[in-house]
Amino acid sequence: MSTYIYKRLLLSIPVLLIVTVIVFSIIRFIPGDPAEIMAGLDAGPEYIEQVRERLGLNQPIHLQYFAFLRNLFQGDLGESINYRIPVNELLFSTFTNTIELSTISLLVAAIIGIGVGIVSARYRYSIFDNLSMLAALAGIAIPVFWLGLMFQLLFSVNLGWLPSSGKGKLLQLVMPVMSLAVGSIALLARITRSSMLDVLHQDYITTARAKGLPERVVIFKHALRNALIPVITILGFQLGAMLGGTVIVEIVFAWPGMGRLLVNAILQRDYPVIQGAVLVFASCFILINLVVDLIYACFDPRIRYTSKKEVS
Amino acid sequence: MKKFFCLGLLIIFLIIISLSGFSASNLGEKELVIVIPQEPETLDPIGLTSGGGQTLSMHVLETLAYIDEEGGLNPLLAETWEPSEDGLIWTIKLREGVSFTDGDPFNAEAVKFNLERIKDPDNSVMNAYLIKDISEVEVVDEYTVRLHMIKSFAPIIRHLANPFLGIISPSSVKDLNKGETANMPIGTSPYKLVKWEHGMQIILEKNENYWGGPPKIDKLIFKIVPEAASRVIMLETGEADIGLNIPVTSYEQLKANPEINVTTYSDGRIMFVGMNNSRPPFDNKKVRQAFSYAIDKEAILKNVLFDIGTVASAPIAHNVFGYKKVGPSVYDPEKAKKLLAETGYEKDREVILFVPLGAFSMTETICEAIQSMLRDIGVKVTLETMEFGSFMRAIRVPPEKSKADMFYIGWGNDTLDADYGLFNILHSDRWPPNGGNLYYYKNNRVDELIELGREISEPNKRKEIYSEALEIIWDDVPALFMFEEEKIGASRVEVTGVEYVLDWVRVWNADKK
Repeated sequence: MSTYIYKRLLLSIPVLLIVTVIVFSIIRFIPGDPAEIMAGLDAGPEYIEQVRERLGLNQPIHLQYFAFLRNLFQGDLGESINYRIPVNELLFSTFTNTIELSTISLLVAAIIGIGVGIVSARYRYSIFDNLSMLAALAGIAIPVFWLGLMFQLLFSVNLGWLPSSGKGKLLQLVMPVMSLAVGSIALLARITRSSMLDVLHQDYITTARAKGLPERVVIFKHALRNALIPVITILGFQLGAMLGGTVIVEIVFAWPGMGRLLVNAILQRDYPVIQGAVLVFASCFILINLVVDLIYACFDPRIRYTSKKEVS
Repeated sequence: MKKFFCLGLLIIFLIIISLSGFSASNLGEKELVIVIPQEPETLDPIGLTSGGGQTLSMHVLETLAYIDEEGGLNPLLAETWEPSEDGLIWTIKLREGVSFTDGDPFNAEAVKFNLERIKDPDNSVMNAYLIKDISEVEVVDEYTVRLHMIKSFAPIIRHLANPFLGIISPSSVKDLNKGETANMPIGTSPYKLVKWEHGMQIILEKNENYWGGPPKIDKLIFKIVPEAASRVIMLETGEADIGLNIPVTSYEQLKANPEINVTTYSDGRIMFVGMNNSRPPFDNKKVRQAFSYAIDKEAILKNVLFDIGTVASAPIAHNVFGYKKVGPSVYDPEKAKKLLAETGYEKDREVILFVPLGAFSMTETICEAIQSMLRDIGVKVTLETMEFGSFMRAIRVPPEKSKADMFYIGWGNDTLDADYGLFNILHSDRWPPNGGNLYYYKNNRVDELIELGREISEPNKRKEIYSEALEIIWDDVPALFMFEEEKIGASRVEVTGVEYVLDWVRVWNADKK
């Protein structure tokens, strides 16, 4: 098992290197460079040239890339062109904020979504089932942006229960998490339900019931473990999607996350920040994929990442 | 059973923690929360480039002079200023008894240090162009400075009033690059920077030793809230006291709210549709005039901008020194068609209008309206929308490389002086990439007049010069000058003393009930 993990981690290094090459080149090919963006209409070309010199943008692109790699291996992601502070500092605070938002949202989404899915499957065609599946459809369709603003209007302006944006107090987490979680809850509910329905029709479930086991044991001990395997995959994707998809929630609720930082950096062509942020996101995706694959092994004994030699 | 009990305890515990967050603020301390759309890049003058940066900068640093709500120039760190006969030397007397918040004295040496730091090419300061005509800063005595000019430049003090040129404590510069003090300059103003939480907020506290007496508000909190609708919501819930860059679509809603004061104010910016004067079809004055007759600016102002702003009556705004009413242009589609026919404009010829996203108010809708009005006179316009960075790249090129026929953009006026509004965008030396004359306009007489206006200091003579220039420019129609932009500012009714000037909001004299 551990060799499997090491192999996966080792393989991720070339993947990340390729990511850096792609990001590095793409941002330098789109029109507009940081010097131009910073220069107002009155700043003359001398200013733009001065900035390009200072930032090393006049160097041939491969030399710029090697300089970037050199610094990267020393743990230095460079300095933000816009804010003139180290990229590491910027990324650290914003990344932890984004992680906080996405993991809490995912946790909430998992608990509610899977819970609803299990109950819907167990009581198929009941009122609860029909209502929850309808709500799930709505949840998948409703745009997060609109939902976020509606929450603000309802809970902040009209009811005055919650602060409308920002970060700092626990109550400020409620609406961003709700907005972000809704889509995932909907998706997870539907997938859990169909997966559970599949499993509940299997022979071994009938056997378990015939043995006289209480329904609770049948569902949680026997059915759920198997039903959850496709759900775990979706959970992994959802976490990945949330990491990237928090941008909208971060903007609506003024949540100081990395998604918002990245979008602004792109608009301002802040190359070091873009490179650093994308690298962080890519590393996250790779890690999430690895963790999801390992969790499979826990849930399904048939899945084992060992080589023939290790099995003794 | 036990599990639920523990869960219940946990929930109660969390609720208590969150509620305790509410009692954190110090009762009795007056605080103003101002919501801004974008975080400033830095507050060190050498890195400032944005309007948002200016608002914050003017609360941390002071400039030599400042511009008030009526556009007048007032003393601040400088008390008096006087040009020599030939305009080549300006003698400035500085205010005495002022210190920086780190204790250092404010004096002529500090002024010299600051101006030279801005002009230093190693610092590549964008705003160095504001003082490019200063060749040397001479320290005459502790409180007197002499500016030696390369050539006479009448509006120089207005340029020095730009919040981009705040004065920082010279001894604080060495700390500006690292750790806690990074980008937190030290100035002489009524407030000092105490905390910068990136992405979230910037906190200023009052300067007890301010030379003008301590301000009434103890703490200024600038919160960064990028989404306009969220800023409006925060004003309505009372989470914010003052809001900037309110979208026109929220104007009515805020106006109807009795807890909020809404103001519209002219920021000196003219919005226009530039036309590429360097090649057909817009190298022909008649074509440009025809296009001008075809656009119903009143209708666009009323229906798209909710009547916020005014139709342009000159290439510069009415509150700019040197303004003269030479417009507004007439809406006459029949005349437009006639003129166009006279020029032999081909029926199926397509012109491309570049539309910048995310930069100005209601851009896409305004451009669509223009497209449809031009269609009514038989002109085919294709809209090409692009993000602002790409847009700037596309239009800031020499004429041979330009792909734009028309483009929508605005030009502000930081000094409320005609020179700022005309020189960079209408002088023929300022064709891109050298400057902002994006429509490649060239008129020798206008060039002459603009240059004269920069040199001569006598205000009445300058007014005459600019009158003539404005008339010629208006007649030439290098661009369709559409509106004088008005911005919307909103504050809670408990707050008084809020000043909206140009692109900025000033709360030096603010108070809260």
